[in-house]
Amino acid sequence: MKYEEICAVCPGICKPACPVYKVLPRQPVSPQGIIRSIALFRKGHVEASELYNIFHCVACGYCIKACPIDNPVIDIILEARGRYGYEELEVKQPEVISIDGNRYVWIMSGECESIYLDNLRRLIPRLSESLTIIDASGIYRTYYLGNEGSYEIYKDRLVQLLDEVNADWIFTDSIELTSMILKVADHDIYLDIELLYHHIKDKNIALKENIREPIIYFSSCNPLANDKAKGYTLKILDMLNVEYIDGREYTHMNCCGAGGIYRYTNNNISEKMAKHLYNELSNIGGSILFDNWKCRDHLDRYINVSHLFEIMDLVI
Amino acid sequence: MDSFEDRYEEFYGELGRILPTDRYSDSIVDRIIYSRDYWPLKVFGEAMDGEIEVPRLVLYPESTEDVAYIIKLANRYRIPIIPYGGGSGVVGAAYPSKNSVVMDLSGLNYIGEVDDENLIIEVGPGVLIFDLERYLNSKGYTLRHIPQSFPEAEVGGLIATRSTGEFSSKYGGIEDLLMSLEVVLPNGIVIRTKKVPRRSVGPRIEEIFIGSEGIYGVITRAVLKIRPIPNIDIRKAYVFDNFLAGIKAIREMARYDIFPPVVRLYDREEVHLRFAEYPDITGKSLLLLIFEGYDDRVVLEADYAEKILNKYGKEYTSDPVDKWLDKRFDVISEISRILSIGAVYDTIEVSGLWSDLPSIYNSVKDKASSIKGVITVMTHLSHIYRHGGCLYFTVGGIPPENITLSEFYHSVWKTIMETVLEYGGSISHHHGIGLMRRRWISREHGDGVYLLRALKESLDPRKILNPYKLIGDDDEI
Repeated sequence: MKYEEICAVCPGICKPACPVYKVLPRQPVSPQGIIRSIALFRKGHVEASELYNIFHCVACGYCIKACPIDNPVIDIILEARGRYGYEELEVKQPEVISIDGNRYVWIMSGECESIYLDNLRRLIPRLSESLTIIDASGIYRTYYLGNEGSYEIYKDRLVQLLDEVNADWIFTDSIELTSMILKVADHDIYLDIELLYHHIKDKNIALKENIREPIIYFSSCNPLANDKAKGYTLKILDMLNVEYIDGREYTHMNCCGAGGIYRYTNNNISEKMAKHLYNELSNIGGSILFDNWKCRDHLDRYINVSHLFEIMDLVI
Repeated sequence: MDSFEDRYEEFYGELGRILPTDRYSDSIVDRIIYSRDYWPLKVFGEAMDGEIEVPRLVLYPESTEDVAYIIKLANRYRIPIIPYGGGSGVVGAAYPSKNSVVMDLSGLNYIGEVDDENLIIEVGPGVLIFDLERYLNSKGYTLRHIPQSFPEAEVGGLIATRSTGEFSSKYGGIEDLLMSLEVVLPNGIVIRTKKVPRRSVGPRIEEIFIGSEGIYGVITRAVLKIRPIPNIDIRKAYVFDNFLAGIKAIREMARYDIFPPVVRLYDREEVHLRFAEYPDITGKSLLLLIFEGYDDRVVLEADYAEKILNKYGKEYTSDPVDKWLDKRFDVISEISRILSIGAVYDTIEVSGLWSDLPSIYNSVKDKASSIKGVITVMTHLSHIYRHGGCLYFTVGGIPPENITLSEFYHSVWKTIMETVLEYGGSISHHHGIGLMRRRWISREHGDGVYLLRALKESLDPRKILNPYKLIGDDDEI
């Protein structure tokens, strides 16, 4: 049986795991409902243009974690977007932004806007390293929104840029993007906080007084990336010798709604998700720390949150 | 304005004047997703390219007021409304017809504060039972209503089905965990019953709606009885030479008030399928038990049970209990394997007195196994009472050539339902009637069915709420 045919006959064991379903509890936007509608489309019951629900996904991967047979739900949804996505989508070409050379290449996702870049500009020179950034927001959006043909074009362009800059290290703020590129290019790609850890692991660092303890940390909500991101976050927090707690143990909401550019495709629901998480976080107390810039940026309008970069900005 | 089309146009036009546009949808994606619940006949029918009938519209109310407004409007224009929860029902109770409107109640997902003094909590019908249990556990409480549909089912649907759960032998079914209800009647009036532990003021109004499958009213709030999370659990397994010896052992345990929450006795066919990694129990019957509660009382209870059970069988490693706990919600692994060989299955749960269970078991196994196309009939006993229990049959097979899927299903169901009735059992323990069992509802209740029909006629003379289900005639729909 094909993956989508298996989901179509499942009662939907993934439903409670889906952060979108938590705020929009309707069967067609549950992971199982989305995949079943794709299966019904393939059987001719639904037109491609009717598949509005394939954009109701933050690509967090919690459904895959909940699935007893690890059905690749995100791949099925993203493939459907790639085939039947927005034809009129305007995407930005990938471009290279150099800061003093090219030893490091940063592949920036579409969600990380100027503050992220400013932090990088401030932080990296202080770490005595040079940096090349590839602004890949175009390919990022294309990847998540689809648009037949363009995905291939932007993928090729990105691979070409990677070859041109001849980097020693390539980093990204987006593990989803990382996974995608790893599939198509012969490059090892690392998470941004990995680089941070690499630079500070032999230094003496201490937290400044304007960060409140305990630090409540949130690793990438994608459980597929979570272990890696969390591992580096905890190593850095241990170096700082501060009291910290895992925020996920105190909340039922597992995603802020920014993932998979959901902020752009379904802003209302995405904002509801952010408020939902904010309401739970505001009861805990302490400084809230994210290792994923997208989440930090999305929640920042509701509650004072930081990214590891910003803490580093205070200590280095 | 007598045709359905004319009435529907009026209904649709007026709906938009009150409900925001994001609370209803006629998108084909939405309509097709609600074209069935988890009735295996329709699930497998869809997988095997059978015909799909879609409802006209899907409604997404978010409050009791929304529900009342919709029902009043539906009543005015005689538009059938199909209340829909988590969609995990297996007898077609939420199956819509093409000239009906589905009302998904998942948006009524309010979870109130825990009332610690009285150990109750008020919730909306759309709360996933999984979310409610997780919420309660995080605060040190439990409802302990854990059906196999735990990840998908919602509170309202569980009440309307008269559901029970895997831990029911100690804590009871949903009827035992429910204190009071708010319900929108078919005329749009909202009633709310009182929150008290018991009262002597006539028949219990809540009972009209427990297991009503939405035909008498739509549940919009429920007050549920909770308890502190047990702090001890003891897992045990016992092996018996055969299923009937296991039943005798369990009967004696229940006779002396020993009710572990989980009691599951598997016959040899089900042991062969589910516990194949334990070759030393092949051909035997396996009993899984979980005792739980507070402090040393649990240890004492397990010790007393051991004395009784060892008279009939012998203790086995508790590993199968852990395996069952780990895999109990995973139905999709099995279904994908079954479908990949072109087979289908269904589960049929019935109940009976201790004195009737052996003959129901033997006769159903004999008769169902002899139906052409049936490959296996597996059984377990679960949900026990002092006076009897539930037999849960799983029938798997491949429809023979020249027999449709529907004909194959109906032949299996007819055989099992009539056998159960013949031997004094009830045709359903906790899945309900829906469309699949309704042709036997008159034989189940005898003349009592007129009470249920009179109540429907009185409350819903225009047949607005979930028509044809539960007490409908077989030739309707």
